[in-house]
Amino acid sequence: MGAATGSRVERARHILDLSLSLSWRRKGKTVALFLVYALVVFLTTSVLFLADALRQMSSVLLRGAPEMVVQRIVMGRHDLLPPSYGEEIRKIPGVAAARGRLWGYYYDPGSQANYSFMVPASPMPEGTMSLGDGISRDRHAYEGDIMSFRTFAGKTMSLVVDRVLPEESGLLTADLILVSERDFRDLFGVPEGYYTDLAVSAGSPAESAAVAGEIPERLKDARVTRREDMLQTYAELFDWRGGILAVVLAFSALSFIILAWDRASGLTAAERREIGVLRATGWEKSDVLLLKLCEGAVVSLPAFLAGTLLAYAHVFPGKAFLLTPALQGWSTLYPEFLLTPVLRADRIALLFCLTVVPYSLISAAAARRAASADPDGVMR
Amino acid sequence: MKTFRALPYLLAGAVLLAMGAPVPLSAAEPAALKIGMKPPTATLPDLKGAPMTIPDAVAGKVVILHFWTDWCSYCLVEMPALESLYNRYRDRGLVVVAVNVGQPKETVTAFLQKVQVTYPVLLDAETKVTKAYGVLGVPRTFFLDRNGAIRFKVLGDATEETLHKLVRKMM
Repeated sequence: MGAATGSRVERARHILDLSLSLSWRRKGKTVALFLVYALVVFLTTSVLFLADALRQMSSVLLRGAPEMVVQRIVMGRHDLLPPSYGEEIRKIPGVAAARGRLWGYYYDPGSQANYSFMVPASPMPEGTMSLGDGISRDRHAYEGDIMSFRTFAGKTMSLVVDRVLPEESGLLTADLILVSERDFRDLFGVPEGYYTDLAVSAGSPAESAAVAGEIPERLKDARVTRREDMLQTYAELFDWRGGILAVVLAFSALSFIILAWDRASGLTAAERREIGVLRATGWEKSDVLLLKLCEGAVVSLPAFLAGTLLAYAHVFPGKAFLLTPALQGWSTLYPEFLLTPVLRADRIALLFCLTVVPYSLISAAAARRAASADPDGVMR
Repeated sequence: MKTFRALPYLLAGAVLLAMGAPVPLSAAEPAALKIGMKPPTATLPDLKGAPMTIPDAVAGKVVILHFWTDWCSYCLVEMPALESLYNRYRDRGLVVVAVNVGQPKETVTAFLQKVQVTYPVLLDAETKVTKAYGVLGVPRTFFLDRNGAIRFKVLGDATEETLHKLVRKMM
């Protein structure tokens, strides 16, 4: 039993040795195959890594979203909420809290960009602002600098940058400026007690739907957006982006099919001769197929590993610089693309099964006919 | 036959290269001056062609370095405000230097006939100094303390009241 196992190992080692030396003999072709194969794996894996990281990031971001947001719609457009709206909503049974929020957009002709102004939940000193990382980079504005804005009444408002928001939150805060409530009202001319919208939370998830239904009953021009609706919108947006990713994936698949077709379309005369020689020297058909399987794996396995490692470096430390131009859309202020690494074992396994396994099998299948034929005929 | 064998690789390579083609090229980032830093030394001519080296020529003084153009409507208001500051604090060591960004001497002279100022006005015709100071828009004003370090930086215009407040903090 031990001797049989030893001979099997010995046989496998010889086959592996021979497959390596045969690959080395055709090193030009082997290297070319390796490079194209690694590139295909790199692109496919990059797309999958990026898609997973984006999905993960959007789900994390929405965890902090309010349970529901109430806006007032006038003539089909979003309008300010008067003080009575908050009071009315707080009277609804099941409402735990209704907090007025102030936010708006400001066009800066200097940088030709729109900034998002917002009043944070925790108060901040008047005359100061926290600046999004994108604006800081775009305007070269840093802690201690003074930035000027034009108020709704045409006056100059100067605010001191008290801090630049961390780069890690750039996806949400690249164009964000946080200011005090007083400064916000002075800048945009929002009267006291009026808010952009209301963040409402219910006492329990069961009451949430009832509250969301009751609000438009009491306030006819109110529109309620629940967290689920926001999730749905993000998912749809992601699907659109996913469409672009699918195109990249399709191109990668096409490249792989071209490679596989080359392997499956037959062997060169030299390869057929090699098989003939092996068969004539007593090699079993199964050994020849195993050799060809190894030859396929010698290229596909290292190429898979190299492509996967490169894809990881490209998407995470490299901020997916090859794919982001197609995904980010147009903007003056781009966030820094810092993605949290998401590695899913099932994804890697799937990629392995879809690339290394079929390629190696195709390599063996292509050799099957030559291995079955008469060695003399094959050699001739 | 050999060409035919190479065809799949050529096709695969072409597909992949086409996908990698739209890689953005980022332009070189201009300098970013922060509070506490010392700005770069630069020599620029004034309207008479006499060179002035900033900030060396005004070392030991409180300096307002103001970058401007004639098409900047805020500069039309801010430059007289700086003149008022200059007149008020020059005896206490305040120097105002206005740097015009990339405009011809004639344009600058015509503008200064409307806005009468007595502080030095320098010409950065090739905008090299403007870039070295990381000025991305006008007006932009640097306040240098007596050690030559940047104490305040104003992006955009500032009211006369704000300018006074900042100078008072440095006196």
